[in-house]
Amino acid sequence: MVPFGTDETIRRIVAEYSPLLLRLACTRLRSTADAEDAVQETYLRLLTTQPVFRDAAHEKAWLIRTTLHRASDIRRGAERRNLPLEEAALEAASDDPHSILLDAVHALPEKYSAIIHLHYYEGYAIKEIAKLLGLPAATVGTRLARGRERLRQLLKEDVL
Amino acid sequence: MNRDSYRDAFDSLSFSAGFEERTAELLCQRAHELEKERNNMKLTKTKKTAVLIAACIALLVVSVSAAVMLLSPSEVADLHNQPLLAEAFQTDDAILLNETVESGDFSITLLGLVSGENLDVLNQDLDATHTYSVLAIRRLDGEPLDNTTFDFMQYTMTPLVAGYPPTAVNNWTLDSGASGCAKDGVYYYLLDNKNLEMFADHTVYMAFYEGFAPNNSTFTVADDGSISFADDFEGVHALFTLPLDPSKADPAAAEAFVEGTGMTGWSNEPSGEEYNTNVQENEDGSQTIMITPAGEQDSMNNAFTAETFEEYIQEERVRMQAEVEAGVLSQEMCDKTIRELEKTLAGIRDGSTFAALLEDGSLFTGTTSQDAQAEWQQSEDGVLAVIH
Repeated sequence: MVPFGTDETIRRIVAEYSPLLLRLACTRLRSTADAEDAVQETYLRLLTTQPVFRDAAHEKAWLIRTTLHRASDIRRGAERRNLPLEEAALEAASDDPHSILLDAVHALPEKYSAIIHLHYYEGYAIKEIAKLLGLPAATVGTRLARGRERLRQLLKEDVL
Repeated sequence: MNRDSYRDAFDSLSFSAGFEERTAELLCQRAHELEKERNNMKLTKTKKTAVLIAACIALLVVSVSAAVMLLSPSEVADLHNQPLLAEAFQTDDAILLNETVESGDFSITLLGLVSGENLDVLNQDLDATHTYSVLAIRRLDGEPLDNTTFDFMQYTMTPLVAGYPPTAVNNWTLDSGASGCAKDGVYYYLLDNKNLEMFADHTVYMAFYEGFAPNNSTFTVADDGSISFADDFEGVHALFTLPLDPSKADPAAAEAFVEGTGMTGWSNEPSGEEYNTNVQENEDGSQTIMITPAGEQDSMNNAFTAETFEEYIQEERVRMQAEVEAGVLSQEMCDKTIRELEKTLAGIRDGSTFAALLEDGSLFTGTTSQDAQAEWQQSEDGVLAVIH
């Protein structure tokens, strides 16, 4: 594949993957600004290391895994910082249905939230997610089922 | 809540205006800066070399040595975005080799290896121990290698084990993952295999060569089980011996692994064909062609008919129902999988789909179509399916 370094390739990859990667980062990050940071750092990593990909699927898998990893790093960094109580109270008080759902997704273990999102938002089949995340298909199926169950408990209603 | 409300929630997120344009601009700018840095480095090196030539021939020898300073395995792991692996390469468990073989236009250096659990941050679900090896390749004429001048896919870096056929223990059977990238004119491989320490009471090799899956055109096995490159193999090649600790061997696991591959036979006589090819005529006039590496069991022998696939569905139904009752699988997921299998069955019946059970027990399915000129898929065990 063409290395990530020419203007044309950079623009193609940024346009093609940014919507997917930004939303995926948001399964682990509450702040969209943090999600943007995670995605930009992923692209920078791609630019500086220039790994070779067998095909487009391999390229997409690398971007997805690296974004999730960066998002986790940023989240752990934020959790180490003490959030002011007033701010925490404000966040907890939100009754917007979108916020409630997003909070529930954030509360899921990371191994579930990415799979839930790739399946229910991006529409990937279990086998496709298995290839993207480098997991056995059976593991993806099990995590999908358990993630949905956990989400159901968090929302106290039937989901998906 | 349903799928639509899930999508709505994520669609409600708003990102900063012009994120994509701004990001692309930043990256393009950084790419140009990197290019300038690379060019400046080339110029600096040229000037330094000229000064050294004028000063003293002996110093020139030193400068050449300095010019081929390679990254350490830890630095290569960092280059591949693997911080845990980079740390592991700095521990006493790592084996640092730095052994070099020159072949053709290349110098090939095996830098080191380390084995451990959960060292891959990009795939943290690897709960079994894996072995990670790092190799560097550079041109002997000093021309820098980069991602455009070095064709990663033309070469193979794979472990082999004396006493076992090269077809039985290699990247294709060890669930390997190889990645590569260039830095300062040197190309670095990072190879991830199932744990090689189980073979440590045998001679374990790391082979690097121009070519694809190992076969008897590339390798020869001696009577004592030792492996070497075939006398008439002309491509770039290097063979290293790994100094693994024999006390870490697990002979039972090694034997079980090799038996599990089903590829215990070997002949040094080249078959003349790298692959076995089977053609199946479908009812709609299309053809399904299965290509398997020579010496490997023909997967088409495991192709389902409608009748055998019905039996397979029944077996899967029983297996998954047990998982549902054990609480590890939801009833909905079980039902969904069965519906997908029934769709495959309908496809087998009307000739639009084929399915085969691979040696690792996984199901391989493909779609046949008059419109499909050349779809292909490669499964993890190296089987290629081509549909015309």
